[in-house]
Amino acid sequence: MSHADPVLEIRNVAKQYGQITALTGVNIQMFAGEIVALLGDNGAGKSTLMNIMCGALPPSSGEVLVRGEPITSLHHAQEMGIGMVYQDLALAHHLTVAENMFLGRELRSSGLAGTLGWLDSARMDRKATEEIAHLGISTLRDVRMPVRLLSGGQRQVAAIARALMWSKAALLLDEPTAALGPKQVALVLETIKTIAAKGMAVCLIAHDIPSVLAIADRLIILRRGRIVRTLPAAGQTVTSVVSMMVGENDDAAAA
Amino acid sequence: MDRFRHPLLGGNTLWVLGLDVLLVIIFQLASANGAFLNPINVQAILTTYSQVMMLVIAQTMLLGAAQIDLSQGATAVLASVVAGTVLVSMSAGGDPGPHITLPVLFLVTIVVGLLAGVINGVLVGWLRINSLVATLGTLGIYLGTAQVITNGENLYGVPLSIQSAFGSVYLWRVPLSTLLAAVVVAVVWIQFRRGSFGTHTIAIGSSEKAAIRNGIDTRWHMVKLYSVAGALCGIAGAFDLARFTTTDIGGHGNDALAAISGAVIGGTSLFGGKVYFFGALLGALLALILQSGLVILRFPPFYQVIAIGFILILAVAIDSFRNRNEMR
Ligand SMILES: Nc1ncnc2c1ncn2[C@@H]1O[C@H](COP(=O)(O)OP(=O)(O)O)[C@@H](O)[C@H]1O
Ligand SMILES: [Mg+2]
Repeated sequence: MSHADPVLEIRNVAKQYGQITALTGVNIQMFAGEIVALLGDNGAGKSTLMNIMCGALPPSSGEVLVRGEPITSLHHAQEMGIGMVYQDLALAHHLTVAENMFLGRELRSSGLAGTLGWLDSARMDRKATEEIAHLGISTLRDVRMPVRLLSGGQRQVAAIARALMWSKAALLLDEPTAALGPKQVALVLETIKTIAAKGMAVCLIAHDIPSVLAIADRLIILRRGRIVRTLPAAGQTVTSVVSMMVGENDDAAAA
Repeated sequence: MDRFRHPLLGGNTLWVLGLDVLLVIIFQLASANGAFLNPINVQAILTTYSQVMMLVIAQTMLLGAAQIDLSQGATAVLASVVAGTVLVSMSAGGDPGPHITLPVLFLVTIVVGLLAGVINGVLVGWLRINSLVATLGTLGIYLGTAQVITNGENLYGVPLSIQSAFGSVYLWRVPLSTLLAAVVVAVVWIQFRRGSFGTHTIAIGSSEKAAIRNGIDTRWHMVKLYSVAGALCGIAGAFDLARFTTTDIGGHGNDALAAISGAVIGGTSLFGGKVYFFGALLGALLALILQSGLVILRFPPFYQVIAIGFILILAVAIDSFRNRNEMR
């Protein structure tokens, strides 16, 4: 496989929710080391697209390929190294932070206990703690806290740490910083840049356009379920991006 | 592991334990000649309790995944009817002896319970029918099937060796069925806490969508969960048949609701995610203590139902008050 092959590719994806068409004719290629930002108004279809990219939502037509292989299920996508931070975080509130980070991929004990199917919670707690420490965020120290007792920001940190821990090929983030304070936002953005520099493909949805422009390499603008523009982030301003999102320029050009 | 979810004492476990002890003391002091703690009475309570234990831990696990099983009593009855029929047909030429009848009893009841559970699990997990509705339907189906098998009568002529070698046997003055039930509880509890089965159950009860998005096959998990629960009901059916050597088709109508009440009194939430096995076991014991105590004090036994109703509402009120404080 050559260096220029896409890590993640979306081919001709469409999605209908009953009568509502959420996406039509979407094609995207994401490459290793690249940070792509998905931009669009509320309801443009960003979350729908990202849920399809990670295998959580089957497209009505079209396909998603990871390193050239079509993904068949969420589980398959996870095994191919796609990590995802969902807009609703997808955390189980009655489980601890560590239990959530290892949910569905628990570590078993060794020896007899492992044969009985017992889990190594001490090791999972330790690894979860390390992963969060690695993120550099100090607001979430105790991974044995049940998620229901955490603040919105702490929950977001848990979801980000989980996605980081499991992503090997691509990291997808749907508004990962919405509940964070400015300092944590900066740390998360820094982590995203580091991850991309290590060769991961990153796709980000965020409403905070200045920070998107600061870290993204490429912008993909969605409007009513279609990609209307794909362009390098360099040289763009908040005003130019917003007008593309709401479609002022196009309408003016069409008139 | 969640240090906020104490493995033994979480939920309402402590105050329900206190209530159990208090009631035992009251009944003991109030009964003539201390009749309440008379070994025969205690043994009778424990023998009934062995069945209740099976149903209440099954219901507690299900509630952990925000599921409910109304067909528990019907499953136990169906299991005992099928096992009883098999045993009757096997003993046409005389009782073949406990080394044959007991393995058959447990094998058949567990398999029937398991199958009933699989059906519940498929209805809920794959066909996505609400568990309250699905198990209300199967309650009728399982109970009706039991009645079809026996023509609506209770079964007689079951080989007595299941009673003489198990149902009426005591070890250190404790009924054998109670000891066996305690072992089953211990195994289920340890597996639930230490294996991924419990974590996945609680994840589903917290948010089914979150569980799915973490790669948990919730349909398959539901089938597993309901089949374990069904097998436990099957064991309760075996205890019932071994105790009386006859089926009790009409006597299990309240079993599922009693198990749900016990679990909820112990602090297990109806909305999923909160599982307290020991609270549930003590909550279910409360009903038996009340029933026996009221009978001994010559109160009509239906006062027990009223008392449990009050305690149930009190328990839920305390729990929702706690939740409100926790929301911050
Ligand atoms: N589960 C769903 N069922 C029906 N319609 C949905 C569902 N999810 C999203 N939609 C619709 O699809 C469109 C795109 O939604 P979404 O992907 O959430 O947009 P965005 O993330 O860009 O705000 C919206 O019109 C929304 O109402
Ligand atoms: Mg969205």
